[in-house]
Amino acid sequence: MFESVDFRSLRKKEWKRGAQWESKLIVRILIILFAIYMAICFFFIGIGGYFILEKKFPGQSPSGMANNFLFYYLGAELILRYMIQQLPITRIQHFMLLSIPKKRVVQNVLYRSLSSFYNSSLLFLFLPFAIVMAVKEENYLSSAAWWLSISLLILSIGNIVYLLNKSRWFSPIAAGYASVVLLDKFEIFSIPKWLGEGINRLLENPLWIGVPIVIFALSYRLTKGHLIRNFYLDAALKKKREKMLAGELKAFNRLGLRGVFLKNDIRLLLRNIRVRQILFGAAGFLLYGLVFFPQEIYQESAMEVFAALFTTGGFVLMFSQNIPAWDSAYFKLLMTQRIPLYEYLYSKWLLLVVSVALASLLAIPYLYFGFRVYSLILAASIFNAGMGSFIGLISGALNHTPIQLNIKAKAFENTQNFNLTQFLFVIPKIAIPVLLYWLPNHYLGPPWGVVTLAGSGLWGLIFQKPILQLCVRFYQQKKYEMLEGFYKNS
Amino acid sequence: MIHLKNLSKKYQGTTVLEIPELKIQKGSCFGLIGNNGAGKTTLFSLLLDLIQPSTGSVTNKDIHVAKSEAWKNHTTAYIDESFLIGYLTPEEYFDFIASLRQLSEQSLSESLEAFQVFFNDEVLEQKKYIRDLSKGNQKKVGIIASLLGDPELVILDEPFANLDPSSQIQLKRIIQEQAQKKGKTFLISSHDLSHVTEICDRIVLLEKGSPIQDIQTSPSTLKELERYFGA
Repeated sequence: MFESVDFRSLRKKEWKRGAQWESKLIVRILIILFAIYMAICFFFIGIGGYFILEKKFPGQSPSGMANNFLFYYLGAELILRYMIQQLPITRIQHFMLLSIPKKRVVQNVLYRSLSSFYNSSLLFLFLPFAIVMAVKEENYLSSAAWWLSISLLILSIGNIVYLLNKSRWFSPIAAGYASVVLLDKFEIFSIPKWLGEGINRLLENPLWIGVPIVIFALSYRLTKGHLIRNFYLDAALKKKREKMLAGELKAFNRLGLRGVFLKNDIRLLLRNIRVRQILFGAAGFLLYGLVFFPQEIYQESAMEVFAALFTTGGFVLMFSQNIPAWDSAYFKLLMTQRIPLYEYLYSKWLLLVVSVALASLLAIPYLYFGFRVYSLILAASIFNAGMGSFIGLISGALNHTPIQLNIKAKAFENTQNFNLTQFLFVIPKIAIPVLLYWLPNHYLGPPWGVVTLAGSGLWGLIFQKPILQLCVRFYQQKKYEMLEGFYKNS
Repeated sequence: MIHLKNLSKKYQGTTVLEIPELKIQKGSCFGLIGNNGAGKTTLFSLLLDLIQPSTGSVTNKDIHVAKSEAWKNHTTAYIDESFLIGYLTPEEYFDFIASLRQLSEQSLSESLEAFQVFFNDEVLEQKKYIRDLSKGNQKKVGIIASLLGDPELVILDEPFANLDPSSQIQLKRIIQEQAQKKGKTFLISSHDLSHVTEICDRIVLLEKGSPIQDIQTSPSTLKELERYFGA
């Protein structure tokens, strides 16, 4: 009887019957296009990688060099996947009482994760590399073995991430990884080389492929056993009891109602996994400038504004598009209380502005790249505070997809909280400031780009009140649509 | 106090609620009963301006609920968990509600003190977020929050569901006390016929979106209702 349970069709229905699914379809298509783009990039890196290594390290075998990097690649992948990949727990929950063998549910979870986005690198990156290697070195069998063993190692990482989920082992492993990297960097002891040697051996005798096979089989068995053992509501599925974060916050009481809302928003930020992710994301964006500013080819180019915008505006971009969806879980409460929308939006706006101010303080080290770079960052931050924040508030009002606060967002697998309108808002959020900088710079000369960019933000800050009042009116108009979207499934 | 006129709600051609006229007096405990899908929650959502009516209007103390927000000054509600903020502790939540209703810290703690028995030491000072409380305790938090700040009208959807027997009995006492001594008006929906007949002085029976009986509660009401639902 349980053979008839079709997990795939259940997933399809879940998706199709959610809020705003039509626009999600378009987003899904865009994501697929993006994935294709990434795949093509991977493909060229895979093909070109061999030649680049050949050129950069003449006299050494490119495949051997690639193997030396492998440790870094695998370690980074483990850490990255631990952070974003999450056990599809909510999917398991529904099947607990049904007459489906636990084994089958767990197998389904594991099979599905095999085809996950994270594993695409082995097809698009490593396969082309292996093919080039096979052709160049005329070593077909060992190249095939090489590709297979790397694939198995990557798949094992996918399993290990599930094992680590909610265990105490992650921090020691991450610390271990960091120390291995340091030991290697200072040439004290090199585990990456050691691993590379091991894989080089593989190239010599394909029979060694047995080792990765064993590793994969072991990780699969362990994970499966682990998931089956924890197939109880109070085991893997239950949240750990958290520490209380952001307790009294008495200082905010002096701000009146604004303070009351701010207090809640701070608790929202600190106490919910989904929102906390944004804080980490914003911290990551702070480093975004490092990609562009050190390179001369980007000087005075539009890419620099782009980088400057993200450096201080990461939080604004990520947080504002989900205002008021962050409050979707209790939106009915807010709508039946005596809540002056102006104060409500003002507190959200203030939070955005404070985040920008904080980020521009933290960005002071960019002075290292010269005053020019930092002044651009400051100009972009004024734009983020004075214009970006309002554009964000408006875009948020059009987002009617509810957010589950205590569940991690998953990149590429989960299109929740991601919709077409938000996608289209990238234009005013990014293109306008880039033009505001680039046009005057191009036609009037360098200081004018920074001046117009900062000036436009300054107008927003000066006319904060009337603009916010316009936002209030917009939110009032959208009230019923928001309520309908947020509670569509309840 | 409340006046519904010509009120209806249609979803894609199906009428889920249709009430030609209904008046609810101040100071009464008004019960709403009916099987699932009878339109109880829809009616409450219309009263609270959470959805827009297809036709007609709701006035609350002569305030048109869709046109002005002034009714929020004297009306509170607890419909479901979407009236709770899961990541707050009960204390923080009460604090939030109290500041919205301009209740001082002093009077908040006095009000909560009065409900100690109802909370049964399971709600306050637990160092737990509301999302980690049991369903019953979550409901207690929501109901008590709806009583803070002495609103004139309190709307409760299924207040007795999920509560343990002792809490149900205490809740009945609380509602009766608040209605009689403080002159509050209660609007309550419930599937528990005996509770409703015990505390409500007027009961309206909804069937498929329309009121089919309007009863002033008398000792024989429970029997009548049981006959209706049993048939």
